[in-house]
Amino acid sequence: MNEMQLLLGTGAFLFAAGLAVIVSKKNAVMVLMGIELMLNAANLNFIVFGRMHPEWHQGQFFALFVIVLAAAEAAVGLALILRVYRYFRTVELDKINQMKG
Amino acid sequence: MLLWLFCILTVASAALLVITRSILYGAYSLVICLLSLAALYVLLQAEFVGITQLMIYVGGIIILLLFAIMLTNKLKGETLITSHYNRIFAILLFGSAFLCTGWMAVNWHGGSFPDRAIPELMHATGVYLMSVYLFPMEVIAVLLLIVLIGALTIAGEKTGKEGRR
Repeated sequence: MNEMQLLLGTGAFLFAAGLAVIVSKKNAVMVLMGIELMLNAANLNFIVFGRMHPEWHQGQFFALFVIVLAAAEAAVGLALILRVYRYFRTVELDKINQMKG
Repeated sequence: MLLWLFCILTVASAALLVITRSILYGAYSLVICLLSLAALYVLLQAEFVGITQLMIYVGGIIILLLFAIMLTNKLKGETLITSHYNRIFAILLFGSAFLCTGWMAVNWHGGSFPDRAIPELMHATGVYLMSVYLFPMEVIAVLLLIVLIGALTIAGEKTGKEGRR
């Protein structure tokens, strides 16, 4: 196993772990953590494939923009979670079961 | 060798995030995962992305997540435990996703890294950021401003009929 396969395998594991966290956790904050994990898997793949042609810089810049978008997504997601908590008094996702405002 | 160490650290902390039931342990294992990913980026000659990862993820997003954990739990001395559901489905989904993507990773024969390190790559990164990628950077700055205003609006809005229970 060379280092390319090692790094791509790490990215694959991170993606699958993020998917499992999203599906199986009850707490909404944990679901956000799973999303961050999946975004990081994509980022690792961008960096690894960009490392094959380092003078083009495309992988690095795509990873940078993904990081900034992840920050934006986390800010909006946490604001929504706070809002939901203030209304339902819980963030357990299986107890949030109505859409009445 | 260092690459192996940080890959194993990343995988182990991600696995801990999957199996743990404590929310705070999950947050701290996410910190370890992000730190070792930043180390991997530095080892892959993407120092700028590594530093950005440290500043934005470990310095920003994790703090936001910890604030959310503190604000959305009634802290009365008990430990913050959350439980799992859909366990069988999650295991199946994890297995299939890991098998598919991992199979493609193990069978990768499309080339490898160049042997020599490119000198002054980070210098060129800064030049590119200020020339070729200037417009996307400005757009994403405006996007960040909009997102922060929107998040403040969503989280800080006061209505009269709060608190269902």
